[in-house]
Amino acid sequence: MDDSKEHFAEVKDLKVTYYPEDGVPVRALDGANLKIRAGEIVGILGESGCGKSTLASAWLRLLPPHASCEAGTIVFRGRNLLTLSEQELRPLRGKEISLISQDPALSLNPLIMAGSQIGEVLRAHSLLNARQRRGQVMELLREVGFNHPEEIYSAYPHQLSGGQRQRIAIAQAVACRPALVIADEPTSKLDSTLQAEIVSVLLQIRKRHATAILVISHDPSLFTGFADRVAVMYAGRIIEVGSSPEIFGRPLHPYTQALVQIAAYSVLTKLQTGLRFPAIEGESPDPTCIPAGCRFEPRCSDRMEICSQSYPPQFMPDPSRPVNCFKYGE
Amino acid sequence: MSYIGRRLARAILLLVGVSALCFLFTEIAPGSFFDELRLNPQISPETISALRSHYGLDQPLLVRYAHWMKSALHADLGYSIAYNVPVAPLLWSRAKNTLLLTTTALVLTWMISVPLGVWTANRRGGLLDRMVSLTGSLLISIPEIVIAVALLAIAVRWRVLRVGGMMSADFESFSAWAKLQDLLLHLALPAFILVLSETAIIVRHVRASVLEVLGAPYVQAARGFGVSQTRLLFRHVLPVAANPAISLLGFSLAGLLSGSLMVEVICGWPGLGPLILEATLSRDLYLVIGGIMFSALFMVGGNLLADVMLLALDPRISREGTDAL
Amino acid sequence: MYADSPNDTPTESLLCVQALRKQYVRGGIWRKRVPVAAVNGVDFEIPRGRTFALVGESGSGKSTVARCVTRLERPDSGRILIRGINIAQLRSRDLLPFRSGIQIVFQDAITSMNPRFSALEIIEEPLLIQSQRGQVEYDRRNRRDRVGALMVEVGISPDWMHRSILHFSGGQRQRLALARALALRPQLLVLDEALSGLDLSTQAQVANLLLDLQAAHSLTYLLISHDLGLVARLADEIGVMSGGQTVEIGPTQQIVTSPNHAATKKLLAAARTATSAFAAATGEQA
Repeated sequence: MDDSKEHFAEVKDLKVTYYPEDGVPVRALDGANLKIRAGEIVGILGESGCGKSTLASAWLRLLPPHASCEAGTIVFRGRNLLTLSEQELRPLRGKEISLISQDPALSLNPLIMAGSQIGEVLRAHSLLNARQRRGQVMELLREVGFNHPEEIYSAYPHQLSGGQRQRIAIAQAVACRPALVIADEPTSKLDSTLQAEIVSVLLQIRKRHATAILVISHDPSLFTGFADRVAVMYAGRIIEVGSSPEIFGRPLHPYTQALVQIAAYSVLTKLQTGLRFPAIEGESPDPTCIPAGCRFEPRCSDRMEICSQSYPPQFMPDPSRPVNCFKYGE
Repeated sequence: MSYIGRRLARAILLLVGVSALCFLFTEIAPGSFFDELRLNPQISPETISALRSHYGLDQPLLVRYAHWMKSALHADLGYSIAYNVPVAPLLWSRAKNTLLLTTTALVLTWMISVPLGVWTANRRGGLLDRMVSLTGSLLISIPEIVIAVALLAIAVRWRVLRVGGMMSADFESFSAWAKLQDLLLHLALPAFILVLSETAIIVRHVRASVLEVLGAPYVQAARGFGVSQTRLLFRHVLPVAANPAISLLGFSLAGLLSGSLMVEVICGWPGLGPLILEATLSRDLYLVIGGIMFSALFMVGGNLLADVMLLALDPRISREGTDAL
Repeated sequence: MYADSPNDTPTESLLCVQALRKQYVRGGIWRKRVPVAAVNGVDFEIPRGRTFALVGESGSGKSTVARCVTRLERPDSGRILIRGINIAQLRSRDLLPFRSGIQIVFQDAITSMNPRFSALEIIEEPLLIQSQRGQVEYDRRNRRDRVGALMVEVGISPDWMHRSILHFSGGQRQRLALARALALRPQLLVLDEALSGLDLSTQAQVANLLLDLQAAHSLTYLLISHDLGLVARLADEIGVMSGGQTVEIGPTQQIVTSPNHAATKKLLAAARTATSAFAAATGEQA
C-alpha cells in the first residue's frame, strides 16, 4: 500500500449516540477511526448492531433526528463534515459523496419511473435540461449493465426485480460522478446469485471513474476479490484493519478469526453433513451498557485477565495492520 | 370487466338497493301524511281516501315501487303532497342552493387544509404545528351545533354579515353587483361553519399522511442524493401522500349534498337539508324518497370519482399486475 | 392430532410431493388476465428425520411450494402425502388434525408480528388456539411452563418472556419463531428462507440450533433457500427449482460435485464464487 498517497477522507474518533424517546440512550459508535484513499475500495465487516450502518449514514448526516454526533470528526477533502450546516451539506450529497441504502425494495419511490428517479439526482446538481438528463440517464443505465435502457427507464419499481432495483440505486449514486460511494449492505437483501453481478458493476465504476467505495457488509465473502482493505468493526469500534488478503489469510483479532472460520466453512469441497457450524458463542454486547474492557472478551476463546479490565489500545504487529487486542502487546 | 366497469356496476346496484330500502323503511315507519287531516272532524274519511288514491298511496308496496322505478328512470320522482308540485324540480331548485354552499366550503376547506397539513408536517413540532393541532382538537371536540350557534350569535351581533336565508328581502331590486354581494354575505356564515369543522379533520389526515411518507426510506434516500427539500416535498412526497387524501376527497364529494343539513337549518339556508327534514316530519313520502336518492346519487358518484382519480394517479393499481411471484 | 405411531419404520417418507401445480393470475384490471404458473410440476420426497433443501432463485416457485405443503394455499393439482395421506385438497376442517404436525418458519418471522406482543404471548399462541379448539388442555400455568421450556431449548433465557419482541435481536427473534413452531410438537418443520437476512455469525448459531433440535426431536426439515452454500451444510438431499419445476434432485454430495442442470450450475457458481475467492484469500484449496 502506497502510504504517501493522501487520505482524502478520514473518520476520527467518531462517537454517535441514539436517544430514543422511550428508552435508554444507545451508544452506536464509540470512537470509530477510518481512513480512505482516493479510488480505494474499503470494506467494513461487522455484524448487525456494531454501528456500521450508523457510520454509513453519519457521513452525510442522514441519521434520524434522535441521533447525536457527540465527538469526533469526519474530514472530507479538508472539511469536517460534521460542522457543516444542512445548507452546506446538500451540494455534497449525491455529488461528492453518495449513499446506497440497504434495501433495494424500499429505497425507490413507488410512484416515479426508474429513469426519472435517476434524473432527479442529475436535476439536483446540474443544469441540464430534460432531454440532456434523459440522455445521461440512458448512459448510466447502460453503465450499470442494462442492455435495454429504454424499457427500464419507464418502468416503475414494482415492475423490477431486486437486482434491477439495486442497479438503479447504483446508477443514482454515481450519476454525478461522486468521489466516494458508500454502499450499505449492497447484496444482503438479494439472492446470492446476484452478488457477483453487483460486485462487478461496482468494480467497473471504480475502474472507469476512480471512485472510492466504502462497502459495508456482515459477509466476509463479499470483500474477497473486491475490497482493497477491510476494517473489522465490533460494538461501535474498529478493531482490526488490513488488506483483503491479509484479513482473510491471516486474521489477527479473535473475532475476525472466528468470522473467517465461519465463512470458510461454506467452502464446498470438504463436505460432511451433520457437522456443526463453527459459531461464536453468545451475543454482541448490549449497546446500552458497554463494558469497560474489550467488548469481545465475553465471547473470546483467547481471553486473558487484562481483557476485561481495560480496552486494548491499538497495536501494530505488522506494518499497516492495526489491531486492538492484547494478544499483540501490553 | 375493467376496473371502472366493475365500480360502476357496483354503484348502480348500490343505488337500487338504497331505493328499495327507502321504500321499505318509509312503509314500516309509523304515520302518514294524512294523519293530521284525519284528526280534523270536518274532513270526511271519504275525502281522505280519495286523496290517498289520488296520490296512489293505496296501492301495494311493490306496485308503487315498480311505478316509481319506471318514472325515476325518466327523471320523474313523483309528486310532493305538501307542496303540490312535482318532486324532481323542487329538489333540484333546493339542491342547487346546497351545492353552492357545500362546493364553496369544499374548495375553501381543501385549499386551506392541504397547504396547512403539508406545512405542519414539514415543520413538525414547530409553533404553527402546535397551534394548529390545539385548535383542531378544540374544534373537533366541540359539537358542530354548538359552534354553529355560537358563530350565529356572534354574526348577529357583529352586523357585518347578513344572517338568515340566502337573500335579503329586497333582493330583486338590487343591481347585479349588489346581488352578488348580498349572496356572498349570506353565504359567508354557513360556509365558514362548515369550513371550520371540516378543516380541523382534513388537516390532521393530510399531516399524518405527509409525515408518514416523509419518513419513508425512499424519501430519505432521495434526500441523501441531494434533492432539495422543496422538490422532495412536491415531487417525491405529495404524490404518494395524496393517495389517502384522495379517498378523503371522495368522502367530501360524497357528502356534498348530505353533510350540511344542520348548518342549513340553523342559518336558514334554503337548501336540501331543511326540505328533507320538513318532508320527513310531515311524511311527504315521495319528497323524502326523492331527497334521499338525490343524496345517495352524490355519495356514490363522489366515491366513484375518487376511485377513478386513484386509478389515474397510482401506477401500482391499474396498469400492470404484480411482478415477481 | 397427529401423534407418533409405533408402526413407522425410520426410513418411511414423512412428506411426499407429487406433480404439484399452482398458478396465480396476473393482471385483471385494464389488462387481460394472464395465468402465471408459479409451480408447474414439482416432485420430491423426504424420509422421516432427514433434511431436504429446495433451492432456487427468487421467482423459481420454492416459496409457493412451501405454502402449498403447509396448506397455507391450496394447490391446483398434484398430491401432498403426509404419511401416505393426501392433504392437497382437503377442506379446512379435515386439515385440522394435520396442522400441528407441520409448522413453518419464515424469514424475519417475528418482525412481521405485532410488536406489542411479548415473547410469551407469541410462543403460547398456538397453544391457546389448540386449547380453544378443545384438542388439548392448557391452562395458563401449563402454558407458561411450556413456553419457558421452549425458550430454554432455543437458547433464550425464560426470564425474558415478558419482554416485547422489539427488545430482541434479529437472531433471537428467529429463535423465538422456532420456539413457537415447536410448541405443538410438529414432525415436519418448513423453513422458508429462515436463515436469510441474518448475520453470518447469527446464521451459524441458528443453524447449529436447527441441528440440535433435529437431533432432540427427530424433526424432519424442508429448507427453502437461495443460498446453496449454506444449505449444503445442513441438507441430506437437495432439490433445485427453476421456472416452477424441480429440475434436479439428488444427495447433497452429488449435487455439489457433479451438477447437471444449468440452474444448479448457476447456483453452485454463485456459492463457489464467494468461496473460491475466499479460499484463495485464505490459502485453501477451492
